[in-house]
Amino acid sequence: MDESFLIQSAQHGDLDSFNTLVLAYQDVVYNTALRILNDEDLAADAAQETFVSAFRALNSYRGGSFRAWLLRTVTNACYDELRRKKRRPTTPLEPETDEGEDVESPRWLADPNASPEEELDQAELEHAIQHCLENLPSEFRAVVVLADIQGLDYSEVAIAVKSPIGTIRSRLARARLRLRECLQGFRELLPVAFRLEEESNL
Amino acid sequence: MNTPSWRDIEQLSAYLDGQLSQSQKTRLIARIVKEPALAQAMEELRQTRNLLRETPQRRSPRKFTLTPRMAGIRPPVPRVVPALSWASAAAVLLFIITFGYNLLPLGGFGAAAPRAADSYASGRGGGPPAATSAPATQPPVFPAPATQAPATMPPATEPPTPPHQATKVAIVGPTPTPAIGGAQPTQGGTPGAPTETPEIITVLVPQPTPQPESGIGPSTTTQKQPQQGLPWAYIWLGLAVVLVGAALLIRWVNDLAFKRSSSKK
Repeated sequence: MDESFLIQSAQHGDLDSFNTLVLAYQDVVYNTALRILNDEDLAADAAQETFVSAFRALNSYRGGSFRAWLLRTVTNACYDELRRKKRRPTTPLEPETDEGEDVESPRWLADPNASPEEELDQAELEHAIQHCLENLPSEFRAVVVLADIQGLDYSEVAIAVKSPIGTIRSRLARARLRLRECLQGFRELLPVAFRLEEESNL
Repeated sequence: MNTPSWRDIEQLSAYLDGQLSQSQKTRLIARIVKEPALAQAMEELRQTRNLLRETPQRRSPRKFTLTPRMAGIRPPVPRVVPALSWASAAAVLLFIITFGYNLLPLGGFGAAAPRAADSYASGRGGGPPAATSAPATQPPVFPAPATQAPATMPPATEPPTPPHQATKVAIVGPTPTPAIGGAQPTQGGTPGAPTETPEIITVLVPQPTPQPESGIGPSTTTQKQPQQGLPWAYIWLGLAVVLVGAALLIRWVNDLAFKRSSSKK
């Protein structure tokens, strides 16, 4: 069904229309929250909170990319959660070396439930990417998740994080560079093409 | 080999996303060809970007669709409810009036009965006198001789007699009957004749009541007079209670239907 028609119906209080939109966007919203928060339960809570807030604030939507508008809501929800976590810090799970530095690729980061080798590799890579994402500042993380993982263009990312396009461009470049450096620590997990390129450059 | 600056990295990243103008793109490509460090930095950024884009998308652990309760939607109010809510206000008003009227010493449905009984007993308003006061108030009504009155009148200590019975006695009083228990015979009676008193008494009591000559006696209409106004108040009150009950029932059924339709979704 036409998205604009569903949005218009939902703005008039039609919950069924809004729930149709929810089903269409719930994976995008959940994955964005998951990549930013790195916690499945918190991501699910943030996604649910996003849709509740979105329905209540639907009349403030004035057209444009509905996906960007939704992702802006979920990004704000994630920022709130990150701030809350910052106020109540938890013990880091990363093991430390004798010098007190974090070990970036501990063995237990791998998913123990994955049995086939490919799935295991994929899960390990996902863990590695998630680990590197978590090391980024939250502003950089949101931009790289929205642009590279969710595939939004610069204008949509600018709407989602309420920043000018120039800032988005700068943050994205820095985030990619930092991720590149971080992922070097997981070279054995990277895809073959990625490794060959890396080795050829050595 | 010159290390790329932050500005170069930013331009390379924008170039990968197609965000550079044509002139910027031409200048950057020319530099990449000349500077291997810039080319290497661009390749690293491209690989990182591709890697991130291949990150698997997880499926949502559950549906995030909203229920009416989550969305803060309340069940619609039936059209009849606003009208019936006036009935509840009327019911409260009637209750207060009724309750207050009962409490007041001058009025009220409960207080009206003794007042009517008083006037009834005293003969005002056409009501017959009360049974307990019959000996004191009835003598003027009786046209019978003074000697017969004690024999036919019920004693004051007897249970209250309905007013129409007393009237009957007054009517049959003039009948030339011998007195009970050796009373003086009436005029025209045979002296020494055997008394037939028990028969006379049994005849007197069940006789239908003729209308009293004085017009002060009781009538059927005057007996019901103290209860006037009482049924209407209860009818209105009952009607209001029924309306309130109907409003509540409709609301409850409506809410129930709304919850069922919500749970189906």
